[in-house]
Amino acid sequence: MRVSFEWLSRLIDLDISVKELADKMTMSGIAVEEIEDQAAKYEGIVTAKVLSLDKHQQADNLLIVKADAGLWGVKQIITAAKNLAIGNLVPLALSGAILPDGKKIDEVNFKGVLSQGMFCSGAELGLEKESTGIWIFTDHSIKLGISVAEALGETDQVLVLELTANRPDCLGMIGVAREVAAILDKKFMEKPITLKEEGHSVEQQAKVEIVDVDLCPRYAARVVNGVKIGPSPRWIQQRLKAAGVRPINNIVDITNYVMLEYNQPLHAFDLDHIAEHHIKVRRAAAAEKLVTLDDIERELTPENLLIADPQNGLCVAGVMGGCTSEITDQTQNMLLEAAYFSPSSIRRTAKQLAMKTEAAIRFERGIDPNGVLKALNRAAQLVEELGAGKVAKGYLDQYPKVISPVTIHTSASRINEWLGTNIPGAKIKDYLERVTFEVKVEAHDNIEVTIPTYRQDVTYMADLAEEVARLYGYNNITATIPESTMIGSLTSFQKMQQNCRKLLQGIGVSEVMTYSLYAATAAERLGIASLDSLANTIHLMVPLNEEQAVMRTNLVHHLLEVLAFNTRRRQSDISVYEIARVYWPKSGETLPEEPLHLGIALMGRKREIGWNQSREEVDFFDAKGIVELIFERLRLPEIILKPSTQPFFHPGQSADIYLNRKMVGFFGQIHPNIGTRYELNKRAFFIELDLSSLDERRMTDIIRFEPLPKFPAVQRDLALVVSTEITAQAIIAKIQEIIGDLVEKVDLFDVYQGEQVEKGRRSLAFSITYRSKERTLNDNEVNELQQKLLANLHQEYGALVRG
Amino acid sequence: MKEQLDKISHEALDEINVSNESTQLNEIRVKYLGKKGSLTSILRGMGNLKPEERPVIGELVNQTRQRIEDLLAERGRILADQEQQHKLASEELDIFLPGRKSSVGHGHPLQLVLEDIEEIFMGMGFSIAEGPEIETDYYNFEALNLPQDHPARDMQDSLYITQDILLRTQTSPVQVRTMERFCPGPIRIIAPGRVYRRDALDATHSPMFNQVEGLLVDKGVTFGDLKGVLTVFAKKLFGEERQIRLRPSFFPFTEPSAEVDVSCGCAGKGCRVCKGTGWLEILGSGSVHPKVLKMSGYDPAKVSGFAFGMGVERIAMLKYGIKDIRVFYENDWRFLNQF
Repeated sequence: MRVSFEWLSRLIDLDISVKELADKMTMSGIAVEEIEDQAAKYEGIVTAKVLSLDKHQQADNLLIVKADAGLWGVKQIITAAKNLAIGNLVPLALSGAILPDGKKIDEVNFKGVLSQGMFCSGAELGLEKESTGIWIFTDHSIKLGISVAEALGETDQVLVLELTANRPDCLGMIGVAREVAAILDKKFMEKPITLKEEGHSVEQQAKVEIVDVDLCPRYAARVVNGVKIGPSPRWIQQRLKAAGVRPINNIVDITNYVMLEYNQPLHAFDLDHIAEHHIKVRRAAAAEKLVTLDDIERELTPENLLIADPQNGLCVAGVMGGCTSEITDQTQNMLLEAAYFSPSSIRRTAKQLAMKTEAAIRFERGIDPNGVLKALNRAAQLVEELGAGKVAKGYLDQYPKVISPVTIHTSASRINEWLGTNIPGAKIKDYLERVTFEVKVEAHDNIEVTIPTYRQDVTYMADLAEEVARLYGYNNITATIPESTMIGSLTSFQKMQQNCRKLLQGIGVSEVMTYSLYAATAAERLGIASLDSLANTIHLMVPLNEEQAVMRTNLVHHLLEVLAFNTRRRQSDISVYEIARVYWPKSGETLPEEPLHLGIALMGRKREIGWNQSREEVDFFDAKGIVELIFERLRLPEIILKPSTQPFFHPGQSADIYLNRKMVGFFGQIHPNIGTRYELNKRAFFIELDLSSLDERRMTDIIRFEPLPKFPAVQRDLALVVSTEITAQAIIAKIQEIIGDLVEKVDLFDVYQGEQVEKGRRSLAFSITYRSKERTLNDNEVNELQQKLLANLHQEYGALVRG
Repeated sequence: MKEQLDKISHEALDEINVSNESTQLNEIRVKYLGKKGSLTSILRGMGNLKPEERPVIGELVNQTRQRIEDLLAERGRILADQEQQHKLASEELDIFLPGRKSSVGHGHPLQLVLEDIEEIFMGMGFSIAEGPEIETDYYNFEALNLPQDHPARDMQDSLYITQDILLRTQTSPVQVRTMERFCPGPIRIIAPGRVYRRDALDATHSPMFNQVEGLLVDKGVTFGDLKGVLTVFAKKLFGEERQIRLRPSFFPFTEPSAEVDVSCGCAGKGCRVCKGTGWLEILGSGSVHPKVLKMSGYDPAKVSGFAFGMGVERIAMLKYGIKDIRVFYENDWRFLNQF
C-alpha cells in the first residue's frame, strides 16, 4: 500500500514529520518500507521563462533559446521544439539533471553552439503518455528557477507500507488513518457522507439477486443517470498517482479513489448493457466463457463467482470486469456495485485465472462487510460533486446473512500473563479503545471486547495481547529468562555426524553444500539405468526450472558438479565432502524416506602445490583408506566389499560396501567416460555412505580401554604366492582364525604381481605380530605356528611360500 | 727408561695436537697405547728391569698412559665439537622458505554458523530436533494456523510434490511434530534444516536455504521470556555490545509476533550493511498461537510458549560480509578455504 502523506494529513491532524511517523508506524506493526519523495524524480528540473528565440545558422530545424531560470541564471538552450513563444514558462532540465525516465542531461555542442540543458515535454516529465511539444505552464504566478515538482504541486511524500496479511484494513486510507490515530493517541473521525439524490428511484431502474449467498454474503448497488465521462480533477489524479494508480476517467478514477480510501473495491457497469437491468450473482457454469477487460477470453468453472444478467456473465466477481458492460464514452446510465465476496472464493479464482488485481487482493484478504454501503455512498457523493452524473434515489442492498462483530471475553490479568507484563487494567482498556475496539469492564478484571468487522484478524485473547503490546511498545516489555531444568545435548547420531566432519576436515577434506534438487536427466548423465532405484526420483509438480526438477537420490551428481565447477576455474586439486539428505520414494507411505548421506569427492593432488610437497595424486587406495578410517572412527563392525557395478564407476576400481548384509555405500574411481562428461581433467574418486544405515548398525559409543601388553611381541613375515582371485582380506581373516588369540595383528606390506610370479598368481607379503597376554612366546612356539599357518593356507588357498 | 717415556709422551702430545679428525686420534691411540703400541712395548720390556725398579717405572708408564689418554680425550672433545659445528653449518636451511603444511579441510560457512547457533541454544537447555523436508500440507500449513486459502500462504510460494505433499517452506512443521511427541511435557528445541520456496535464484534469493527454528513450551512462558532468550542469543552470536529490538509483525502461528533486529556493528552510525538504519533484521518470532498449541494437544490455558525462526544464510552473510547468497552453493575452492 502506498500512502500519500498529503492525503493522510487531510484525514488526520499530523504534527510530526514523515520520517518520525514512518518510524512510529514501523515500531508498532505497520512496517514502512520506504519513504518516496515525489519531488526527487524532478531534481535538477526548474522553471524558466523564454526570453528569445533565434534560428540556428547551421541547422534549419533548431532554435537557439535564451531562457531565464531565476537564481540559476540565463541559460542558452538548443531545441527542435516548435511550440515555444517568447514569454512561455517551461520546465528546464539543467546540466546534470536526470529525467524521470533515467536520461541524463549534459551540456552539448550543437554545430558550434552550446546548449546548457534541455526543455522537457510532458511525456519526458511523466505527466502524459505522449507530447506534441514542450510542457508550458499556464499559471503565470509560478516563480522562475523553482523546482518543477513545486510548480506541478508534486511535492507529496509516499509512505510505502509493507503490510502483513493480517492487516487488510490498512489497504485503505481510512484504515491507515485509524491506525495512525491509535499509534499517536489522537482522535480520528470519519467525515459524514452527504448525498444529493434525484430522479427515478433505483428500484425502478435495477434489480439485484444473489443466487449463491455462500460466495456473496452482501451485494449493494446504486444507479447513476446522465453519466458524463471526462477527466477527473487534478487532486484526485495526484492522489491516485501517489498511490500508484493510473488516472483514466472520472468514473474509473472515482471507483479507484474510493477503493483506496475505504478499502472497498467498486465496480461500475453500463446499466444499459445489463439485460433486463437485472444483476444475478451466481457461480459460473462449467466451461462458461467471459471476455474480461484485458480482452482475454477466460474459461470459468463453478468455483468462480460471476456477476451476470439473466442472459450472460458480466464480470468475474471481485476480480475483473467484462467487456460487454464496460463503461465507455457513450455510457449514459451506470450501475455502481459495492459487495462483499467470500475471501477464499476470490482467492481461488484470482489464482486460477492468474489475475491478482487490486480488487482481488483486497477481497481475498477480507474487507469490511459492514463498510460496503459507506463506500458506495462515498462514490455516489463524488459522482455528484464532480458532476459525473446524477445519483438516483435510494440503493439496493442484499445482505441475507449479516456478519456481526466478534466479542472476546478475557481479563487484564490473562493478557498480562501472556505478555509477562504488569500493565494496569485501565491502561489495557485504553489501548484497546485506541484501536477502536469496544471494551466493557466486567467483574474483577474481566473484560468483554467487541471487535469491529474491519479487524477480522482479531479473534483470540492473544490477538488482544498483541494489540496491547504493540501500543505499550514491544521494547518496553522487560526481558526475562525462563527457568528450566532441561539440558541440551546432541543425540548419538548428531555426534556421529560431528565425528565424520572432524575426521574428514582433519585429513584435508572440506565441506560443501549443494542443492537437494537436480535435473530429471541427472541419473541418465551418470549412466544410471532408468529401472535402477537411484533413478526412482520424486518429482516436483511444477518445477522452478529444469535444473531443479526432482529430488536427488544420491550425492554423486552434485559433488561431481563441484569438481566440474572448480575445474572450470582452473582448480583441479579438490577434496570435498557433503553431509546431506537424499530422497527415496517409499511405497505404501505418505512421505518418502530421507536418509542422511555422506558423499566425498577427491581429485588431483593430495597436497597443495608447493616447492617441497609431494606431487602425488589421489588414487583408489586413498579413497579406500578414507572409507576404512571412517568405519574405524565410528566403531563400526568390519565391512565386506564387493566389486561395484555402479555405472558411474571404473569397473575395476570400485566397490560396494556391505555391513551385516546390507549395502551401506560405495566408492571408487569415477568412470573416465563420466569424468569426461563432467569435463573433469583429472581422475576423480567418489565415496558415498548412508549414515542413517550406519547409525542403525553401530555397536556402541562407549570406548573400553584395553590394558597395554605386558609381554613382548614376536614379529614374522610371510610372503605367500596365491591365485589373484584370493583377496588379502580373506587371508588375513584366515590367519586370525587359525592362530586365534596369539595373533595381535596382521599387516599386508607388499603386493607383487609380475615376471617373478607365475601368471594368474601374485605374491602377498604379510607381517604377523604374535603376542600372548600371559607369557613371553619363544621362537620354537612361533615357528610351529608359522608352519601350521602355511599348511592351512596351502590347503585352503593353495598358498605357497614365495621362494 | 724415563727419557724414553718422556719422549713417547712428547711425541704423542705433538701428534695429538696436530690431529684434526677423530679418526686420527684413534690411530694415535693404537700407535701408543695399542697392543703393539710403544707404551705397551715398554711395559713388556719391564721384565728386564730390576725388581725394585719395576714399581717405579710401572707407575711412570701408567702416568704416561693416563696423560696420553687425557690428551686424547680432550682433543677428542674439541674435534667432536668442531665436527658438529661443521655438520650443523652444512645443514643450514633457508628458514624463510615456506613450511610443509598438512592438508586441512574447512567447514562450510553455513555449517559453522549453524554450529555456533546450536552451541548457544544448547547452553540454554535446547536440544536439536529434526523433521522431514518433504512434508504434508497439514504440518507445513494447516497445523500452523494456515488453513487452505489463507492469504498468508502467499508469503511462501511453495514447491509441491502432490496436492498434499510439498517441500517444506519453513522449519516450523518440526514445531508441530515435536509438540505432538512431547505433549503435555515441556519443550526446548531448535530445529535446523533445509527449506524450499518458489524463488528464482539471485543474489539475495535461493529456492533452497537453511533455517533454524526454535520452540520453547512450558508453564507460564511469556513474551518477555522470548525477549530474554533472544537477547542472550544475539549477544553471544554477534557480540556482548549488541542490542536487540522487537518490531510487531505477523506470523499465523504466533501471537503476538515480532521481527527481531540486532543493532548493527556500525553502532548506530549507519552503514551500507544496515542501510543507515543501525539495525539488522535477523529473525521472526512470537508467542505460540493458542490455536497451534491446541491443535498439537496442549491446553493454552495451562501452558504457553514461544517460537522463532531465522535464516542461516542471512546470518552467515552478515557475519562474514558475504553479499551474494549464490556463493554458498557454488563451493568454489577459494571460497571454502577461507573458513
